[in-house]
Amino acid sequence: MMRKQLHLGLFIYPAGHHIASWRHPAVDAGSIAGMDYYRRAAQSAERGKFDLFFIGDMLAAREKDGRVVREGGLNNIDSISVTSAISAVTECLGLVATLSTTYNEPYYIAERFASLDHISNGRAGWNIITTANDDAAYNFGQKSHMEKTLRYERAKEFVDICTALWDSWQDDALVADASRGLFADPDRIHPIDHHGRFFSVRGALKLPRLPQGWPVLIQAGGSPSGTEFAAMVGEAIFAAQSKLDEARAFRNAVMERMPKYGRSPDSVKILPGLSPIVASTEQEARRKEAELDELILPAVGVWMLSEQMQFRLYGYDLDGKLPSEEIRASGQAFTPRVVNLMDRADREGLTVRACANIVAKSRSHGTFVGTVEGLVDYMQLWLDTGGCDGFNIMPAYFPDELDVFVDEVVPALQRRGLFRTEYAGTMLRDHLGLPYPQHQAY
Amino acid sequence: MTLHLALSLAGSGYHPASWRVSSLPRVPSARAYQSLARSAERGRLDAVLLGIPVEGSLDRVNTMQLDPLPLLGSLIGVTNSIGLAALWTVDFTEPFHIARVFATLDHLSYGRTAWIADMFNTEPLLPLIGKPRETDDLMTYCARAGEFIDVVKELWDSWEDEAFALDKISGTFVDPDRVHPINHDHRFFNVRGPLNLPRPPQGNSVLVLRDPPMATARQFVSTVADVILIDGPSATRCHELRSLAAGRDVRILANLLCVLDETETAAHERAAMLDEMVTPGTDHARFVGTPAQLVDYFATCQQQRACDGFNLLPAVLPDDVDRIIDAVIPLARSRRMFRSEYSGTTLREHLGFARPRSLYAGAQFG
Repeated sequence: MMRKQLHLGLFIYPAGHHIASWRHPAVDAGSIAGMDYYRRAAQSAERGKFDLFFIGDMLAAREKDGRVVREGGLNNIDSISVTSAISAVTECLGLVATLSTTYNEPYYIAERFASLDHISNGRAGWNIITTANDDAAYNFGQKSHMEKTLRYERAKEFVDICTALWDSWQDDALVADASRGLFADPDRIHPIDHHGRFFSVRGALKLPRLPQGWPVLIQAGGSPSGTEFAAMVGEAIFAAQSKLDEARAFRNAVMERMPKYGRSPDSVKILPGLSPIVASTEQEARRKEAELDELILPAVGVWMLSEQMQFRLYGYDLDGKLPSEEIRASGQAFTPRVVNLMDRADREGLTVRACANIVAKSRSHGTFVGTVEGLVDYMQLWLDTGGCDGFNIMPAYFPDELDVFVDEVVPALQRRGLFRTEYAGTMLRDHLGLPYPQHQAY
Repeated sequence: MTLHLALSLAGSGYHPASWRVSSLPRVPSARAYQSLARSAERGRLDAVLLGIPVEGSLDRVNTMQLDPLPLLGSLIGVTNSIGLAALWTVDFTEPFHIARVFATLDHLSYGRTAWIADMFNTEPLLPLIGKPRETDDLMTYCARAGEFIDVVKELWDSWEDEAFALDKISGTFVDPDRVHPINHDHRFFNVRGPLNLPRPPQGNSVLVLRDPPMATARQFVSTVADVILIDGPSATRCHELRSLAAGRDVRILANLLCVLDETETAAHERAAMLDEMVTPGTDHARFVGTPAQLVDYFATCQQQRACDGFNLLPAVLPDDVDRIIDAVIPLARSRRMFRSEYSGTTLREHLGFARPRSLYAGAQFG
């Protein structure tokens, strides 16, 4: 039997995942909203046989004290628009867009992903988010952001409606029989007649069943509500653990919860984020890393850290220890990423500056700095010891660092049999080895 | 005066019987639309319009529609110059979504987008969305739609053109003094802003509105639209809309369903054959004839000031598009009625519109 192989996502981000990437001499920061930027990245990822291209979504500008942040942090552009644009210039690459269940209507979202799946011939994935930043509420006429438990209840009903809509056409409903003059058979198209706590939707969809049945359903993050939701609906999970033991614990936690929702634990793929900096020698990789870190403005790191911890660190000594006790006592509901970072700071005695740099460099996902072979060892260890099913690769800056990964790391992975040399199918479900949802019986 | 020509794409064509004879795949195919959009670009048309529905019932008519926003997205990378317009309603959605999606599409396409702001006849969406419209009173409806569009423009403008500073040396990515929360809090919408994207290349996407079904809403449409779609050429309607626009620069394009063939007889036979298969409604003015007759018709309409151009609705895809691009356009060019090359790179330039200044240009922060 062939050995277990990695799945790879390309996690795109304007300029790069390193916060100072836009200042790097090799980066053309003015190009980050245009088609050429995304085409180039997507075509590199496809050249590297990546499973998917992934882009996030935010519904408010990044601000500090009511003003847009001067030093960096452009939001992603709209994810459905980017993925649909890329569909036309790639053949096999999976396309994962992010849309919020808190600020949208289910019919529109079902229709949008049905369209993306048709447009791309079966390459769509939906990263389902409930939106975590409070500021979004003010752009949608709300006084405050919906409370988390309620958000996940709404998300559950939202996804149920979408899957019902994707199933509303039987596979054979599109008849197009010229002799009878029958285009679509109304007996094989079923209104969903949903009446729930949050929504009433009659349906049906105005498009035939999707090439993949449903887009691949993806969940990101790993708060307790998020983990439960992931176990319930997630077919792929973009995780944020940066330590192997934590990643293994998270993966087990998701898989243990799946049977109670009638799901087999092998029907999920967990991909932690990984931001690698590689070079031919360890020393050279460190030099590349240092070159980037020198571009970080101290104000940026402290701002990002304060945002993530929901705790104002602006007055604190940069070279003093992270005041994790005070942060914990502030009583906020911390994300797992923040908890992980505070634990690490306590363990290793990290300063505010060190923590700020960690966040600024990788947005607290995993990082690796070293040689290509070292990175391959690292990825193999995570795969073979149950830490993950693959990685969401977060290049430090675009396009150079993505090209390094595609041209040097991917062949090394392939030589060890850890990664595909050709796509086995054309749809995202084929790449991820996920089942096609069977049509519910009518 | 140059003619402006747009091409609408939907289903297998705008004749309700089109699917019976069309060679397009039955399942909605982005590849087919990409090829049609490239043809339209080869003809140097102003724009392709997506989302204007084919009327009819799904058991007899191909009314299937890919969501026009991702469909527009899928055309960006396979075309270079042609304008790309998508229909999305002002009902059942939020201005922030519209502003963000069209700003994205305009950035990706380097300034080629238009928003067809659908309004008035959105009742068919009610059972799909599952919540009532804000109002059914026409004047209130117009007031809300107008405020919706105001918010969208405020969001597009919330970043001044110079806001995206990108000064690597000083570390100024964005100039916060040139990004403005819009703090919109009026009758229907409360939106803080700013948008989370730099100002789009066109400043604002071109705003396309359809001539309303009720005369009382015509004043409203004339005061906000860049482009107005009317149903068939009409000097009276054009004059009325221009008076109501009160000096604003608008382009009026007439929808025209086209059934074309090499001879007049063949064209009429084709139309009759299609009509016999499925009786068409009276949704669209139609032209049946040869490419040369269509160019004559363009010239007559122009002389009569019955429109500034046309939104051509091909009866059958790809047949009528091929005839438009391969026969009608060369004839129109030979009579110097239509461009041979694009003179600009943005849709605003194709249509002869200036790029609007940001509402906030030169404003103090706050």
